[in-house]
Amino acid sequence: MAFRNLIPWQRERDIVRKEGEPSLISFQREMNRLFDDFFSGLDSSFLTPARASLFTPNINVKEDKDNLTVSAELPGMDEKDIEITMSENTVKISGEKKEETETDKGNYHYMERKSGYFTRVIELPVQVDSERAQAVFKKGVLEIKFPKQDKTDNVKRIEIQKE
Amino acid sequence: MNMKYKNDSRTKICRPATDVISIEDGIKIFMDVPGADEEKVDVSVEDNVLSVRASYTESLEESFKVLHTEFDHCDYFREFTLPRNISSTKISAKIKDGVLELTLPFSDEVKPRKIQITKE
Repeated sequence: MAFRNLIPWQRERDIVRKEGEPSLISFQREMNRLFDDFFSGLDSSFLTPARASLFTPNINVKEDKDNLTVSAELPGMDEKDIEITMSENTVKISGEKKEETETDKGNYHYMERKSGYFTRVIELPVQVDSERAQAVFKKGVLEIKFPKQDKTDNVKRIEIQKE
Repeated sequence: MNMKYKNDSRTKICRPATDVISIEDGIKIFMDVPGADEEKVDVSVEDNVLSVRASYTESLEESFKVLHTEFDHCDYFREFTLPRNISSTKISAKIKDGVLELTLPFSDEVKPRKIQITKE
């Protein structure tokens, strides 16, 4: 199967059957290999249906000359329910998206919108000044703007002492 | 199906996630349209088909370099065929924090009413 060679990672498998190995073990090996081949081609989220029912906000990261901007789609959320924390160069956006209250007694025909707790962790690709970060929540979209840190600020010169 | 919505090829058309719920006196529709502008939401009913479109006001800033993307600035569009018992003239809509909420009340003729039994 040529397509198997296109998959970048593969689970360990024995191609060579060892001398004197019982044929049943060899058969099991062959079955394991078939399963690995089949599932390695699928997106892992497809295999965990529980994840699909959870609310996971979509995130965009973009940059320009001076700023790095992280935006997240959080429709129907209140800014009080959103928490943004920063450590090192990693931003964590978490919160709880609540369902509309008047829908409790209703009868659902379509239910595509998701709710619940979520956490997204984004590792920023450049050094930013988190002290001057600004977050705005508007029309269901959260936008966090981080000023990029001047690279020269981080460079520390070490004096060489002469003995 | 005739596609009533034309877009200017620059923006993608997205199908917004929607909840449709029957309540006592009508139907409620909640639609996620994050980023859509209030002035750019258009709800219309024609021949029992409710169509909703919404778009962003802000144009995509060209000077930005996209590093990671999971959503686009898109034009939201969706159509629903309404049941006969909805009074199309009484549909109301409001938008808050990127969620469009439509209230579609039942027309008066179909609201449950008690029929008096007369004794002979």
